[in-house]
Amino acid sequence: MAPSVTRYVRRIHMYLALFLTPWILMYTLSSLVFNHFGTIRNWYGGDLNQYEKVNEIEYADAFGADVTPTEAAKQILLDLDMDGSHFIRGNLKGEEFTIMRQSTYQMKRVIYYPVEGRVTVENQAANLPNMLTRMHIRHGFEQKYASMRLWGLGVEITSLAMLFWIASGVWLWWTIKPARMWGAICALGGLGLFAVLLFSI
Amino acid sequence: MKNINLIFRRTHLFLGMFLVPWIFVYAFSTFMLNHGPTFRELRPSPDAWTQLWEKDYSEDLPHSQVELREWAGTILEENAIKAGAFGIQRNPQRALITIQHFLRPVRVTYRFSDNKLVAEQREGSWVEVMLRLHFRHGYGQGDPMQWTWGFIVDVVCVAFLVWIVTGLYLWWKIPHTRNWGWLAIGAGVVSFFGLLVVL
Repeated sequence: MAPSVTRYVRRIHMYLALFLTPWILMYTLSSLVFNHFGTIRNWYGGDLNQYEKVNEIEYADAFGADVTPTEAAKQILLDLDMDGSHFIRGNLKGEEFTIMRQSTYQMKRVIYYPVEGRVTVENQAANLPNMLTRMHIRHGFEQKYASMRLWGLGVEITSLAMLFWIASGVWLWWTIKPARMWGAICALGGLGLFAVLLFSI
Repeated sequence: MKNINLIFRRTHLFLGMFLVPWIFVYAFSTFMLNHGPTFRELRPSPDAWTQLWEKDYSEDLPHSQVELREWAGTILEENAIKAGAFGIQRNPQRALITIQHFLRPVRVTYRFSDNKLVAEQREGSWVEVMLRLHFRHGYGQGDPMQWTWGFIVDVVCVAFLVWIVTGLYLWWKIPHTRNWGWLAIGAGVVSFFGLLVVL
């Protein structure tokens, strides 16, 4: 009974990891970017967040008083033929209303100027650190776009797989008797260091 | 060859055992972020701060960020507030010093309107602790503990790379799992990059 269960646990542990290798690689590399952001920013001339204007259109008197920012953002993106996952900054009563249109390759910034009646479209400079960090921070099921929900599902599977790797890893460690003592020392060492940092930072 | 196999196997295992707390934090907090609305309801309200003390205070604050940091450091030291790293912001109404402890952050506000210096502590919340642990990175302002945390973040990243390399090696050493392994890798790569194309 036990060897058979262990075999299944070992196989699921392994095949899940092989399947999720691209996700783990993405989270690893993007975490390194976050942890060394200042250095990596300097590699790109001190600014990773440059935008270049690629389009400007007239967009006067577009919305009535009862239109919400969410509805307005959706309509602007549809009018520009750019519908897709996005988030918004500001509101329609200010001088600027910004829609950040997310995509894998580069972020697009759409700015609506209600008073001036125009819309500009800017593309973020495409580079690897930006792509990685954007992938890292995308999550959730709140957006209605199917692609975004599928990404959220990928995030969900990866996070649950990591929890499974902990549980299955501890199980497998316990089945390897010669590794029990050093495994326990490593586990206690890690837990001790984590507790010290948790209570002192 | 058997030795290399054992070294890879043990490295894979012991690294995992040591990093269990961090992997748990990153995995569970990612799950929480993926279900933002649900876990947001479990967080204390934005104004859930308990006042520690309030003092009369009057000072013309410097305008440069460097001098403002020096002023904040002096305030924290004079009031015996332990702060390895802190942030300082000012606006026309107030100057705000924030000390981001994992468990219960502290903030000190200098209100210009009534010349008061107020120290407050955030209400404890396991949800917020998990998120603070997730978001903390970098080597931080010279504080040894912050530096250690940043270093551990790097260790976790390197560990994931080691797990990928040793995992692939250990998979390859079990010949009868190769076909299913290739299928898992192929399906993972196709689904991941397929998603990137449609996003």
